[in-house]
Amino acid sequence: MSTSGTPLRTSSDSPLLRVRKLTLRFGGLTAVSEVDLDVQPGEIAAVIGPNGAGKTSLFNAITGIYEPTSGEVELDGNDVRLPMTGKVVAGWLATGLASSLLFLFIAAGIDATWKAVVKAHPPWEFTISGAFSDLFAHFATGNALLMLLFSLVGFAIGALGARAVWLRSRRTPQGVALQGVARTFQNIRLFHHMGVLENVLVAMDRHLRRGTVGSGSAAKSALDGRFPHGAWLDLGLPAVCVVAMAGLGWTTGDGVDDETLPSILLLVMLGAALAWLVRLTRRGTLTGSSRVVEAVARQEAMELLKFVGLDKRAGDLANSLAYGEQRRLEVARALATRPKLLLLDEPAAGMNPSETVDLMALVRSIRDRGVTVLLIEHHMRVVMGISDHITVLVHGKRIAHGTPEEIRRDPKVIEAYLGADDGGH
Amino acid sequence: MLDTLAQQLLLGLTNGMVFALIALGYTMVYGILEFINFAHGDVFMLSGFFALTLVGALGLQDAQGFALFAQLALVLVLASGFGALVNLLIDRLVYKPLRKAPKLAPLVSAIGVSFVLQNIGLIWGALPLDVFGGGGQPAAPKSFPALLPTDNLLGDAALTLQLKDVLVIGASLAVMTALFLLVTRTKLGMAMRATAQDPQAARLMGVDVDRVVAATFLVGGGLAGFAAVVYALYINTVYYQMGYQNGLYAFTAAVVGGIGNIPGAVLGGLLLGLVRAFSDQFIGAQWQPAVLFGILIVLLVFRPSGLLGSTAREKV
Amino acid sequence: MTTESLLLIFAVLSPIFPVFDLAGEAAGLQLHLDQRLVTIFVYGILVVALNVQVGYAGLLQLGIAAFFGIGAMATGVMTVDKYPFHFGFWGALVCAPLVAAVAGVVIGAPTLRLRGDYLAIVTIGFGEVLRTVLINLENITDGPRGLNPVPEVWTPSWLRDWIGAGDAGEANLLVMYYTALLVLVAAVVVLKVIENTRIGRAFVALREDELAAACMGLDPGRIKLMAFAGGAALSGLAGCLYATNLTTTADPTNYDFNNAVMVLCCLIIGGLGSLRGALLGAALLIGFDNVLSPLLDRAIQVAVGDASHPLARFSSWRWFLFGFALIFMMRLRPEGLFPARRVAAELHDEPEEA
Repeated sequence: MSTSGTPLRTSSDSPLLRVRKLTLRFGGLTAVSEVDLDVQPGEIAAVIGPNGAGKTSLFNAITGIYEPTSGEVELDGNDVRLPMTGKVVAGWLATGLASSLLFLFIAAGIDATWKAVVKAHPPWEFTISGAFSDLFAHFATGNALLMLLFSLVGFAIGALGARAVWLRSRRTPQGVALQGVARTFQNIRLFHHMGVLENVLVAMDRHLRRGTVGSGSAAKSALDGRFPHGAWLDLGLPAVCVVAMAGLGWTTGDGVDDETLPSILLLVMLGAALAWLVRLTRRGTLTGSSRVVEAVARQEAMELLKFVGLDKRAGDLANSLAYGEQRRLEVARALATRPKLLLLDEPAAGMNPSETVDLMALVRSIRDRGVTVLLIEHHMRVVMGISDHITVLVHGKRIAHGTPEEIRRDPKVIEAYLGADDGGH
Repeated sequence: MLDTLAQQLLLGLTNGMVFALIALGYTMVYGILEFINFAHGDVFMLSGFFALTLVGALGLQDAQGFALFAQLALVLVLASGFGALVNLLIDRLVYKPLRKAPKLAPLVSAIGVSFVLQNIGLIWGALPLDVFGGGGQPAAPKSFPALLPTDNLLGDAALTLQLKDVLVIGASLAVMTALFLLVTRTKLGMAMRATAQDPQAARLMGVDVDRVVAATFLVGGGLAGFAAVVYALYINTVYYQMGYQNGLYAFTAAVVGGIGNIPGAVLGGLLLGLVRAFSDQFIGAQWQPAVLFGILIVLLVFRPSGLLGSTAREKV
Repeated sequence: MTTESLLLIFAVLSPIFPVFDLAGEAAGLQLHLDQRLVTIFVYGILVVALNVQVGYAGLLQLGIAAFFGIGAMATGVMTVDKYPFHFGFWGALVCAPLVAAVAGVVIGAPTLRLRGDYLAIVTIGFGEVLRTVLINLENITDGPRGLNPVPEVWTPSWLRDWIGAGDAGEANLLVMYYTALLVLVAAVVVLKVIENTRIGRAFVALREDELAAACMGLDPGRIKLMAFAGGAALSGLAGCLYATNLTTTADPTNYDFNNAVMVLCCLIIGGLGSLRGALLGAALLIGFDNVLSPLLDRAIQVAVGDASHPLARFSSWRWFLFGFALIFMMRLRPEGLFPARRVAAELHDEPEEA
């Protein structure tokens, strides 16, 4: 038997999810207090506890919805934060420079600068180099101290603002999801007014973007070995159109003597535009490769729907599904992100006994697909039946951790549950 | 220089009082319904027209002494009542049926109401009354007669303090105190605060939420009506678009203070009034909207909960 | 609505107005349908642009007029004689959407965390700031006078001769008309395609449940910026056509909040999220505002005799129309007259308690 503070397995095998001393406070209320939690790869783990024990808050902290007040969350030894790379710092500096430039112009007077640079000469005497020397001349007439001050303030606002935004978004739900954590919600949060298949496709967004769709857990590119016919036209046609249009503007803006070149450009532009639009209409996707990827993704999504038993409802709106079906669709949607770890928040809530049995089978088969499962559940029969390890939370604190057998016999747990209202209804 | 500063301070204070009065209406409705009553500024505007019509009907521009102040008090009361009624009517007719609709619906409806009220104001301004310049120019600003003496109360001092300044600040403070007492000391006020905190729980505890909402719109509209008279007395014009801009400024004030927070609205209003006065003086009046909305944008981006507001977390 | 049927509409619409104009002339009315139809097309593009932000992605953006104004002003600066750039209409048509899209990203980036009504207020604020800036930077924008003359759409003389059959004025109108129509059709076709792709789905997912979308690995910030940039670029395009059609960038008050509400009104009457609705909404409202109400004004003037009073003009009552349209649509048919399937279901549901 093991109780708080002593993790069950202290062996060298590294856990998939490692939570250490996680604390979450809202104002004066401590929802989660110094909770430790290890989830080993390939297991089904459960968190139980009476209502208000902080289970969902723990999930929200793990998935990046809440920022923990203190403590660590690691996935595969990675703290699921965006790394601070040189590129990020360069981004701050660039934002700062842009903003300082804007402030510099404000200090110099945008209106006055324009007047001094663009309007100083008649339009036909305007040259780029002349404009720059006018610009510096204009700056030289200004109050140097004021302009310096404004530039510095502008730089500070831009760079610090960008840094603040970045710090705030270091650990986000999408960032955690991209690391391989997917979840379902206690109160079902499907995209209710999208189709069932579309719900799954949305979750495959990342793979659609990278073209890594298709069967098999190893994300292999749907485009491997295939280069769709005429792919160069997808980018080529609009590019030709825009370039011809710009050229047309360039050659005609000042009045035209010889209409031959502009005429050709006009025809090229119209031709490219029409050809592109016709291509788009025919195919229904922006590029040929996205069409291939989309088709493979649909297949994969259908397989997932079949896995949860919803393949017959693929075309329906999500909110037309029955409650139990919606829960299963949420599972399919979460699986579509190809998670390493799947968090299920009260998956059996509101289900009847036969649905509950189906759910247990589903959770096991998810584990058998190689996805580690961590679930919150009130339903004792479900938890005891399928979990490898159980963690008990009461009032935000971990009071016990162990196998179902150990938890069943733990006096602390019995006390907590006899004191609380429900446990195994 | 010091005199200019003091003068701008006074101007900012009086402007801020008007903003605060309007902002209170925004903030109270937001506190309870979590909805920006976009038409609130236009209730303010219509009350201004109502007050101007009353002034014309009573012949106030020629009144003197005690009669003037008695009738002015009457105008203040009636305009407040008018604003309260209009606001309540809008809520019952337009917003109430949408209580359970998605959030977009009441906001878009409120924009619609705002435009309807502006058009009413436009047409009201075309009434063939003497105070409206005999009508004919609906869009032109109508001049509100300068009812109060414009002597400097401080005699020959460089700082000009007129009776209207005193009146604006005094009356606004009185109304705000009354509101504060209403919210903190009465049963209705308690119900309001309870509803703002948790409508569901308040309903379970036996609070008649519908009544509370009605009271909120009444009080908010009354404050807007009151503000309209104060504004008209001070600025001496009324026109059909004055609700839009002042409404947005007042909303900014409410956000600055932390929307839903009653002392915050007052604080925000005063701050915004001061900023406006100083930006008009030192940057230029033509940049006023840019400065004030710039503040709104920066504040919403960096501290959406305002100065006195608390951050709320989304329930998952 | 398939895109084929759009092309069909294009084919049908194109020769329509000369017929009406001729009929109008026969009846003693100067309809000027050509120019007014261009206005409808321009607003059609604007409504479709707002649809990207409000309809698809659910970002209640009330500053669309600002991007419209940026597009128009960029066109003015790049084409008028007094400035040295002389990019011509076609160059402006490339640059205006780019400038507007950059503005969209700059404005969008800091507001990414805001949702719903707060976003609405901030975008109104941005619109007001921009209008103030455009009026006050008089050296650049010529303030209330606007930059002019913005050059017409350049076309080679052989094309002009062919289209206008020798009549230069007629050729001008027709070239403008076809250009605006072509841009509108292109925008609609591209958006129609995007609706059913990954990006279109991401927009809708974001509108439905931002948090759930984020937990599925979608980056809400990136998607919002895409919606902002895309909508802004289309608005810039509309602004470019607008300025070209008017031959001036016009008074910046043309790009104020009222304008944004008018566009929103078209979108809501037509149906949020529905391209067909957006187009028909623009046709209905802008058509009423630009074609029908001047005609009715004239009818009233004829009936009353001397109708110098401003209230005898429809323009004094038009905000009733827009206001009541918004109120009644939200109450009776929030999904609009020609709704998209998803939005119709959404707006008739009661929101779930979280």
